Formats: sequence, structure tokens, C-alpha cells
Amino acid sequence: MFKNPCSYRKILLSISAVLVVVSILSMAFFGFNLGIDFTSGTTFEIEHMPEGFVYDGALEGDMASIVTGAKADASVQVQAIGADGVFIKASELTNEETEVVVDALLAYFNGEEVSLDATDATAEVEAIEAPVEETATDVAVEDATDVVEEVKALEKAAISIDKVSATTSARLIGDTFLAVLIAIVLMLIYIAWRFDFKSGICAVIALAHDVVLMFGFYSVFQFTMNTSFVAAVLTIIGYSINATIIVFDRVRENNRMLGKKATWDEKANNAITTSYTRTLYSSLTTLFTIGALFVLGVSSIQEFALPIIVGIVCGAYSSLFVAPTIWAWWKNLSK
Amino acid sequence: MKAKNIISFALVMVIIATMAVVVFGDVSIGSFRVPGVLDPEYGVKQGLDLVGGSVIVFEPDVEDLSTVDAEDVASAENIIRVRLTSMGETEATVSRQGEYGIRVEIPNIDDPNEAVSYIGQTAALQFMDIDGNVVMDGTEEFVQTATATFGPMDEYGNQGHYVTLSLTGAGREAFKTATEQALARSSEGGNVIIIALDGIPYSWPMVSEVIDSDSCIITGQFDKDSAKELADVINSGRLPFSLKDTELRAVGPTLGQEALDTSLFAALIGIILVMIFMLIAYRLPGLVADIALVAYISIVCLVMAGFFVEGGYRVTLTLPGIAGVILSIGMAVDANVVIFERIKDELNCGKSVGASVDSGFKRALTAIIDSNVTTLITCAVLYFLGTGTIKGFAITLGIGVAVSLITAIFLTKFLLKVMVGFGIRNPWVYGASKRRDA
Repeated sequence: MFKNPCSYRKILLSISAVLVVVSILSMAFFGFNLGIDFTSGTTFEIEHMPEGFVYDGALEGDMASIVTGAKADASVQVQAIGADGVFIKASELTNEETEVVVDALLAYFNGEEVSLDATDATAEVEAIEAPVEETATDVAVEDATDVVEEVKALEKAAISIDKVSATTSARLIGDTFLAVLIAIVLMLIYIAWRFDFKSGICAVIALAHDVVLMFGFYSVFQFTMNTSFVAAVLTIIGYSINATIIVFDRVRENNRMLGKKATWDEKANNAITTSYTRTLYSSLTTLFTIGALFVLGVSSIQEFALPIIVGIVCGAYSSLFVAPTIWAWWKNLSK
Repeated sequence: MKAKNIISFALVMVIIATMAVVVFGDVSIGSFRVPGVLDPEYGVKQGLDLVGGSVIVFEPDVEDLSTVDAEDVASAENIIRVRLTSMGETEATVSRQGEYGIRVEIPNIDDPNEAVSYIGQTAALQFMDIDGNVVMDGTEEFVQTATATFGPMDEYGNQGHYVTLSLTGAGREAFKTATEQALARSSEGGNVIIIALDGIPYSWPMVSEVIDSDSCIITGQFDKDSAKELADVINSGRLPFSLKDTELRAVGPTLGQEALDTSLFAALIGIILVMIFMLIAYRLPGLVADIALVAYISIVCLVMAGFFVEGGYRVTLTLPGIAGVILSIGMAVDANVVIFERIKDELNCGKSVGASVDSGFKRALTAIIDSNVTTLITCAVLYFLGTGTIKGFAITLGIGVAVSLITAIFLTKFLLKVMVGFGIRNPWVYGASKRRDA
């Protein structure tokens, strides 16, 4: 099968077709877990919760009620990030509401009772402040414990806030779609000029295959999609075309050297088999670097690395088994 | 032949080593200090997601953006600059995003919400006397417009930048009274009218005569920009829209540092893995690829730091930007892989090492150029159509691909030829499948 891929065209393309169909079905029925870059909204991210806090159902509920305490009809989603982080996604909050949430988060993680009623909160602040004044004589002792306390406490600066309004997110979708379309058309023109039109179409089919699978992967596993996913898709568009061109370069060379002495299938087969090592090695080296980022990086970097890893694997498959096999089949047809 | 090879090889190695030291250094030789690529002052600019800070995008708060006058957005942009300065945020940058957006980046800020409400508030422009009593406010009721002008300023025909202030009927009345009162207090130095933005004095032109006219001019030590800024500040009182924040991204400084550290560590691990892999897979050419990789990374860093030249173009590195660089490392190695595979093919056909290196390069070249050009096309589209993070990613990936073309085509080729020139001609060390005599 690996020595003579064109003869196994049906199997190889069926694998792709099944994956593409599954992806499209998933997108149609389950949709995506869209981040605020696309849906608009406000998010709060605490990469490290102070010691003593673990992510569980109770914490999840508390986080949700902190947000609804600031805005009663807000939609809230809470999820764990990393070993000790929490991520809160809410519908778009005003500046004042955001402030209320931040204050409540600080109070919650720094050991104060959270009150969701504003009047209660001020009463409590007073109640807490009062005894502190009385024990002012024990300053020296207090100081020592303070140092330890401070390390464990959550500072305001450790909360990352993102807010995207509805107009901004609508524009992002429009801009991205336009960018992808223009990039594809330009690449098609370039390939048609340097190779032939059929190669260009086949390269774009392989590309569409990779992109659909990336979207499908995100739909099936319901990972959050944000701007970084868009950047990843665009990277893979470049990468996938890159890989396909290396294979088509071999086809072009075979065409020139063998002419009519070989069938289209033979030319494609030779191009594919001589590209195995290159595709494997190049995918591996890229996976080393991007994989290290995924394993060691912070959550925002992982959000970017994961779709690229998926795209590279798909790109390796499509550049070897999708683009050249379709190309040869198309050439056979036109004879 | 050998001597010449040794000299040129040594020279190239010294250049690469020097670049690597300059880039990763932060070394001092006497009083001469090499800053290193991560130096905040001379090296690559670090984005707010790495140092911590807030990005806020403001837009006019109106139903239909197409009704907004571009001039008014420019005025609002200048008002924001003035406000940032009065907040003490001198490191902050203000730029336009799209046609109507104003992008504000403030590093190291603890309370982004406070900044949003202060910067985005509706401008309160007032004219005051020396004691801070409001004599007139800057609304449409009194002020028609203010424009920055260049031309003759006095009866002697001296040219300069000044601001023309046009008043309404009510404004003319109020201004007449105000200038009269100010002039009456000349002896105590009270002959000024303070122009205040948000209650903070911004400019205090001196009154030299009673002004009873629909328009007057404000002169002073203005240059083109400062005159424009004063005109914008005065116009802010009658801006037909208020600002709303459409986007806010706030990253704490500790988090930013963590993101930077882990990414750099990941890059290091990734690069080491790639180097070991290339050595095992390709033997001597693998070593050549590793040397080329060090050169590649150094050049990319140098380009991004604007070659450390004062006023050079320095790339702002963001998290997606780092990802772009790291990804481009993987792709840079790809060019080498394509070349070495071709050389291996030629060797296995029975050609000599020297001939294999030559024809291997020639055959690999078209594939490398075609594949990199398509990636550059993507980068260009992203650069021109993308915003914010995507643009940053496009720049670093573009630089990476362009530099990798250069190192693959010139440096790898040069180093391999030198190796052949050294008399290392056993095909096995170049990756041929079986040991055989040259």
C-alpha cells in the first residue's frame, strides 16, 4: 500500500472522506465552543488560585454566583485550567459590573466571606476593619505572619480580564473569512503558474481537507475557539500547501524526465514514495518545537499549539495521499 | 585549496558565534555592553501579554459608525493621549485600529477598569480664570470649532503655528467678559484664561487685549503637533459622540513573565530535540544543519531587534509571535531536510559526494522556493488584513520564512561545500545508505 499508493486510492481517500464527513456532521449538530473573540463577552482568568483552593463543583457554583451577583441575567461558564487555575466566561459586562466581579473574586480567594448583596458587603468590611485597629499593638507579630499570608493571597494583578464587544467579534469573523479566501486565491494563482491548474486545485483540496479536519477536531472535542485558533488555521494553510508543493515538485520533475514513458499513476507513486522521509522528518521536527510549547506553555500558548499539531498531522497525510492521488486520477480521466 | 577552505570556514564560524553572543549575550567588554535580544531597552519590544498590561480598544458610541467624522476620531485619539499623560502613563501607546477604533496599550497597570472609565469618559472642557472659576464651557453652545493653522501671526508677518478659535454668539459674549476681567487683573499676573480638560489645566494662554470677535487666535511656542493637540483638546468639548470600550485585554505582570519564561524554555527544549534529531538522521549534514540553525535563530533575533540600531524597526513580540518564531524554526529545518534527501538520492544513484551535493542543491531549490513563496503569500495577506495578535504573528512568521530561505540556500550550501573541500568524502557520513568508497 505504501509502495503503490495510487492503486489504493479508494481506501486512502475513503479514510479522508469519512473524517471529513464526521467533522461536518459534528459541526452541524454540535457546533463549536466559541470563545469571546467570536461571541462577545467578558472573561476572567486566574492562572494560579491561592493555596487551599481546589477546582470542584462548589467552587464552580461560587464563581457563577459571583458573576450573577454583579449582573443577574448574565450567562456564566466556569472551567478549570491547568492544575490550579480557573477560567470564567460571562456575557458582556459593563465596566462597573466587571469591577464588582473583580472585587468579589479578591474577597473570595483572600478568605473573606462573600456577600452578594452590596449593603451586606459594606457592613462586613466595617466589621473586619474594626478588630484590626484593636490589635494594633501586636504589630510585630502580625507582620511576620503577613509576609507568609501575602504569598498565598490573590492579587488584583493576577486576574486576567478579557472583554470583547459584539461589534468587534462580528468584524473578526468577517475579516478572517476574507483573509482566508484571498490567501487561497493568491496561492492557487501561484501554483497554477508554477505547476499546472490541476495541481493548484488538488493542493487547495488538500488544504480544505486539513482545515475542515481542524474545525472538526475542535467541534468533536468542544475546545474553546478564539483568535489564536484563527492564527493556527492560517499557519496550517501555509504549512499544508508547503508540504503539498514538495510532493508536486517531484511529480513535476518526473513528468519532465519520464514524459510518456510512465503513466500518471506511476509518476504520482514515485513522487509520493520519494517524499516519505522528507514528510516524516519535517513533520517531526516541527512537532518537536510546537509540541514542547504545548507541553510546557501557559494556557494561551496551548490554545494556539493544539490546533497546529492537529493541522500538521493532517497536512502530512493530505500532502502524500490526498493531493497527488486525486491529481493522477484527474489526469487519467482527461485522457 | 584546503587552506582557503579552513580560513573561510573559520571566518563563517566566528561570524555565527559573534552573532549568537550578541543576540543571547548581555555581556560586557569593559564599558562596552552588548544588550542581548531580550533587553527591554535595545532588544525586541515585548508585547503586553509578556510584560503584563492592558489593551483597550475604544470606539465612538453611536448607532451607525459611518456617520462618524474621521477628524473627530482623530481628536478623540489626541484627548486620550492627553489623559494618559495626566495619569502618568507615559509608556502607554495610542494607535488607530481600523477606521474608527482607537487602540490604547498601557503596560504594567494594576487596575484596567479604572483606566477604562477615566480614559473613556466624556470630555469636560472648560475655560477658567486664574482662580479656577469657570467662565465658559467648551460645549457647542459657546465654541464652534478650533483649528490648527500655519501662517502669519502678527502685523510683522512672522509665520508660525497657532490655533484659531471660532465662537458662537453666546461664546463671544462670555469670552468678552472673561477677557475684560482677566485684563483687569494684569497687575497681579491674572491676565490668563485657563483651558482645562476634565478639570485639569491643559493650556493657559495670556490675554493681551479684550476680545470681542467671533474668532480669536491662540499663539505660543507651538509646533505642528502641539498646535493640533490644543485644537483637538478644545474640540473635545463638542465631540458629537462619547467613547465606549469594545475590547479589553488585561494580563497581570506576573502572568506575563510566566508566559515568557515557559515559552523560552519550551523553545530551548524544542531546538535541542531538533538538533539531536538532525544529527542522528543525517550525520555530517545534520551537523551543518545545526550550525545553520544557530545562525538562523541569531539572524531572526537580530532582525526582530532592529539590529540594535538606534531608531531601527523593532518587532513587538507577543505570545502568538513567539509561537510564530518557534514554528518557523521547524520550517527552517524543513528546507535542510529537502536538500539532504535530494543529496542522499544522488549518492544512492552512485554519484560522487561532490557531484551529489551540487546536483542535490539544484534539484531541491525549486521546491524550496515554491513552498516558501506560498507561505510568504499567506503572511502578506495576514499582515494586511489581520489585526493585533494576528498581525504580530504574520510579521514573525514572515521574517522567519525569509531568513530560512537565505540560510538554507546560502549557508547550508557553503558549509557542505567546505566539508567536501576538507576531503571528507565518505558517502556514508553524508547519509548514503551503504558505506562505499568515494
